[in-house]
Amino acid sequence: MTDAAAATHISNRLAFGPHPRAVETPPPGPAALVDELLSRAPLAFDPPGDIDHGFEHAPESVTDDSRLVRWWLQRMADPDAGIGDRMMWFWHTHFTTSTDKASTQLAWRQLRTIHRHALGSFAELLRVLITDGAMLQYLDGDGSDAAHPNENFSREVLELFTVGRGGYGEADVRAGARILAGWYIDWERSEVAQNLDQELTFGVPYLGRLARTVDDLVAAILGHPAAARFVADKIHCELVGVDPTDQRSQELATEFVAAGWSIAALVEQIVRHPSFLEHPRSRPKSAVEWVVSAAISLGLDLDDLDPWSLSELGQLPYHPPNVAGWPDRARWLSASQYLGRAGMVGNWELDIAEKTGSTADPVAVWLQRCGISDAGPATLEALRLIAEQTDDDWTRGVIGLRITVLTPEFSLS
Amino acid sequence: MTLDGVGPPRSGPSRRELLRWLAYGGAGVAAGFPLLACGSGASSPAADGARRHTIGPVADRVLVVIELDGGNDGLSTLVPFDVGRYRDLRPTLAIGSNDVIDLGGAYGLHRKLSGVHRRGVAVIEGLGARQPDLSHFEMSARWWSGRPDGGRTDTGFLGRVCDAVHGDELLSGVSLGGGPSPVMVSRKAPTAGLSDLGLGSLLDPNSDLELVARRSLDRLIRPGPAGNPLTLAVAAGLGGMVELAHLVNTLPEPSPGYPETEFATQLALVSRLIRSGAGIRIFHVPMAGAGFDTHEGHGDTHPRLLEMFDAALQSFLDEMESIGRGGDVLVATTSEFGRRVSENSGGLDHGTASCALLMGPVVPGRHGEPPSLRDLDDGNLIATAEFDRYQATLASWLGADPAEVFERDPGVFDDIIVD
Repeated sequence: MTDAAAATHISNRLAFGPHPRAVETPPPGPAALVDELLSRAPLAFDPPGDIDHGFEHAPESVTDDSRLVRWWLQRMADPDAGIGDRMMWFWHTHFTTSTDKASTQLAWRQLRTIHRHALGSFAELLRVLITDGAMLQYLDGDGSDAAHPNENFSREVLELFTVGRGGYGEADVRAGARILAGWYIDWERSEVAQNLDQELTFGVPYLGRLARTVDDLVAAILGHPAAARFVADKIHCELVGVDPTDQRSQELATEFVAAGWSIAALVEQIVRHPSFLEHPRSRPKSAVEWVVSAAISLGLDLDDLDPWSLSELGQLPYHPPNVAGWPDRARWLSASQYLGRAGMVGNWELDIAEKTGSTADPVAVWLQRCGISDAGPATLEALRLIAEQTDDDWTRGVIGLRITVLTPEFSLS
Repeated sequence: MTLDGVGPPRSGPSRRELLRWLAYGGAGVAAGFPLLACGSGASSPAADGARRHTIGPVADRVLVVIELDGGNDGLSTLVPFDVGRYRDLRPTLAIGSNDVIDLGGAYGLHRKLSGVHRRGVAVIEGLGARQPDLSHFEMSARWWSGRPDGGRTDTGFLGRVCDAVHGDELLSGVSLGGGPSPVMVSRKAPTAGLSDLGLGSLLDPNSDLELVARRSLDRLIRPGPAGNPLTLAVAAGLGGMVELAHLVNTLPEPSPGYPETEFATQLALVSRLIRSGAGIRIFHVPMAGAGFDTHEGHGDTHPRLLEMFDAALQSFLDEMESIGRGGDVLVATTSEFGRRVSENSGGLDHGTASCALLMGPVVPGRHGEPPSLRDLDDGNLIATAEFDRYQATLASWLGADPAEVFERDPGVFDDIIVD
């Protein structure tokens, strides 16, 4: 792989795509770029309003969920975004929560929690999210009482967040529901609270241990042999693009636990391994990845994007289709996905269009902006046709840029 | 987002509105559209329509599957209102005789379904799995794959029905929903979905940019030999996109009279696609704006959802009747599971067996065996039939050989659909 191709690959996986550089600027070397992007903690957390305001009568700046989405997409497109922001997004796709159900103000607080722990300890992240207000609302933990515990949250914690199917039984789900009963959103005091009357006075069997409190529950989950592999495999798949081999999976899980569940250490292990550079363009960009990378390449300010248009592509942050999150892979390349993407990019106003259309070699400029250094013959032919068959610079530029982000080279990560 | 300030008017509101719903197709990459051999010359939907009649009446049949996402409570849909045990187990959520339409044998249809009842509705009772699971994702996956036992398939049940019945139409199956629809993943039949973003300047024939964009896309969708299979998948996706845009550009206008709900708009779009003559055989409609996962507030939420369902179906069924398609458009509901027999604090947790509703050319009334309220499995209903029997009944009516769609022979329910 050339340095230019590697730079695009690394930026796609450790950030949200390469930022355009001038044609004459050489690409950074892969090792230096990996170092750079891995060193970047999440950008500063600067919500547009007071997210610690009392639950009632909170300002619209923190109750309007489209503000949250807009704020987040802009961060993703920031030239200083790196692995920290990438992992923030990953944790949202993992610990999904929807503001269709949970309050947006609580979602902001959850996002702050994810921001704080994005590269920290998975054990701590899990512990705080289990009693997170938005999560309690989303999965019906809020208001679940000991007499009739609600099983939804207890089940998803095991099935989707930690050990995966097959690692637990229905009795564990019921016991977990009982342990988690009594947590609720106290709207008057504006806090997440536990009704101590409902706390168990004795341990109940849970994943082969006795557990009484939320801390016991988290300890039991982390003690489960499947938990570290479940999480490590998922992060490997996200960053490398393919599942780890069985042996590699076991190694990563062992090191993950040994490093005290350090997410930063796990990411480092995955990214420093030779396999990280071996699978470029091995998965489709999801809708969010595509929109953000296209905006970066085409110079579009994401503040101008109607966030709801992302739901038409099937991926609006904080609005997953269900608690399992967004389905991966093939559907991001379907005909209807492209119909949506073409419709979206076909209406973007592109300030840079005329300028790119006026250059001596517009095809090279479009490809450079989009980080494509190894265009295939079909893409080259498609773009050259635009350069040749258009009469004015603006028309040439808008069609060229829009088509470039629909090409296979740009569609894949 | 602003539109480009240059060029002729873009697609009008009606076209944009019509593109709603199909966010991303159930069809996976491989389920894709045939690559266009000679550019953008998509065949005219009208011509496809004429072809339909040469195959015979079964080929005119259309199946509309409405998915009630979240787990619809069968006992609040077909209510055992005169069964004492029901009252014991649902002290606050039991539905009384005033709120049901008596269908005999101590069971009645919820009163909020009176519109579909008047037009004829068949209820199939006791559908589920022999060894059920209480997870949404697991049971949804089983319904979508057509495997009550949880065995995995890489295609969806409706996608396989499309494979079994498709001819050379542009689209065999369409999923009309923003959510994922693995149920529509096929091997070879073209299936897809539309979105609400409009066609935009690259695909709208009213745009100045469209001609050059289309020529350029013609190059992209013929990638030649490629080392990376995903490159071919992108080309297939783009090729299908061009064809879908053509279909959308030629759809008939919506009919008046539908309620102003998202779900009714979905059904109105189904009607437009049927009327387009494109030959689509299967529609998958995840009921929009409706969550049936009533862990809380079941008593308020569930009747409201049934009311929304009933109002939209009345418009749709009446329209099908009025255009002469009443006899060959079958509407069928699915839901991943029913709900727990006993109530929690005001709601109902995940359960097992539930009932399904069939409308259109059906024998109205109760069908199948009701599950016992006395003999429960850990507080849950025991299914009296596995759901693939129901799915096979739908597939068979549509002209598919169940042996092509299911790995085992699940049998079919007789005398429910008018054949």
